[in-house]
Amino acid sequence: MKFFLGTTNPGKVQEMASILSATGCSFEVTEPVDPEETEDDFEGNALLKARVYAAHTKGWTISEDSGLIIPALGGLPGPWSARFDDCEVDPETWRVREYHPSKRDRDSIDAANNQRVLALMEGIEQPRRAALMKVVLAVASPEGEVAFKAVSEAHGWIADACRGDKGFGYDPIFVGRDTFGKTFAELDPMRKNLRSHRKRVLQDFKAWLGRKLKEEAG
Amino acid sequence: MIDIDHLSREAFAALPLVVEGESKEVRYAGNGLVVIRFKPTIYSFTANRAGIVEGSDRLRLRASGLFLEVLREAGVPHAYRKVNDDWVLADLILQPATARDPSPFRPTDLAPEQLAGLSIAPPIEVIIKRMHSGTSKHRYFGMAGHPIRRSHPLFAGFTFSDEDAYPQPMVRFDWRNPLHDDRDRRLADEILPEPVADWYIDIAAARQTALRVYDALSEFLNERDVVCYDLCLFVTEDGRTVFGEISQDCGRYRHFDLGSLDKDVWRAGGSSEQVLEKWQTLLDLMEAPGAGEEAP
Repeated sequence: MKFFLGTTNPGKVQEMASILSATGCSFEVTEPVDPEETEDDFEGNALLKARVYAAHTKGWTISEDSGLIIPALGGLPGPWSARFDDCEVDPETWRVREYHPSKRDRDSIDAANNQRVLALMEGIEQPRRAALMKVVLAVASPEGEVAFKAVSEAHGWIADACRGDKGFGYDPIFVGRDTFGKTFAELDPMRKNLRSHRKRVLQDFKAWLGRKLKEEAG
Repeated sequence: MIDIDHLSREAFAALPLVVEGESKEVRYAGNGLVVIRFKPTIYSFTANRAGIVEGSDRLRLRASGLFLEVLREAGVPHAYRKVNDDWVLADLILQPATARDPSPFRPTDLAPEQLAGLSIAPPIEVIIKRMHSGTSKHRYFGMAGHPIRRSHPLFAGFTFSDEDAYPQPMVRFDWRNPLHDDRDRRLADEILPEPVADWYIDIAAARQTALRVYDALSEFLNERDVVCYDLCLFVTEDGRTVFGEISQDCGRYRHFDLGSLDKDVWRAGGSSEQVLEKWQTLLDLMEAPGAGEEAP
């Protein structure tokens, strides 16, 4: 069985392909479609992306939306995680007032997002540095129907500086509750996969896939 | 069917011999089944060191039994049917007749069609490597830090360091050599080009089986904060059934806090007690409930 990976983020592609390598399925990265994420939560965006990418690929498509939630910042970056530094934020209400896409490359925007969060978290002490990484994974059929959905969270807190050179996104500032004080970017990919929220939804996906393949085999 | 829970050493010794190697003795129990005795031997090619370590056989048997359960739950076929503290009951896997061994064991109690249905053992060892360590690190000098080609569909530009994880588990096929050649020179197993390996084992099916084994065992071990760095398997020539031991002796295992739990200590010149201690620790971790699991 073949699946398209509905993301243009190479970090997510690598993490998904690594965890799913034993499924026996083949995976292909979609051409960039970059659907506008119009929903205001991860779930809405994940379902939207899965449908849009499936319509584009005409095949089974795995898509996800994920990001960082910091209660001390009113839940931001939240669904704006990938583009947080391009957002103008009201510091009273923690609402995104405006969004000005800068078209920076992935590494530049990731680094800027991390610095933005660290700046906003300045002066905020524990336990208010608590944060969580959330992921919603959706699989759409070639007809664009969502056939599977899973949600997972990894809990932890925001570090006081960027640490580590692995991973992607907010990994350099996110310390997992069970990573012995290390940021996700300080863990080698295998150990990160062991702990990551993305791994858990992909495990659920693997279980679903196993049942589906069994059903199809008769 | 033979009952290995009530099998004496004498009764085992009276069974027809199928094959005997450095680490196992296999005897035929009838009806296409064999009983396997693990020998308490430890061998390291790297250190050119072999020895008898009393008690190591039982630790390997117990770990094999636990891993067998994990594979069963994951739906991965294994020739082992039952493991206890002394024996393994398994399906007979046939050795093909070769120029060096023209008359391998053949059971006399099976009809030709039953015999034809038995699986064949290829002269191949299937290795799954998760980390850039050990022989790969030394043989593929400079691979660490070298970016994966830009045109790679999934891992373009990805790099890894020594002792880091590969982007995904790598499966390798090695030709199994005896410990010595006819002139008593030491032999190591040799990595085969895949088209050549495919002459002797269905590499597509075997790779998939190996990845499923690794995935299932890794999940089980990860819940215990243990990472399996690599694993060595024997898979039938159709690539579908695992038939060899899977234990502490067949891979490299590292605990997040406790470090190496394999025979690295033996390779490094450590004592047999130290090896037993490591293997016992790994077994204890395997027998304990993992993270998120409830105690029995």
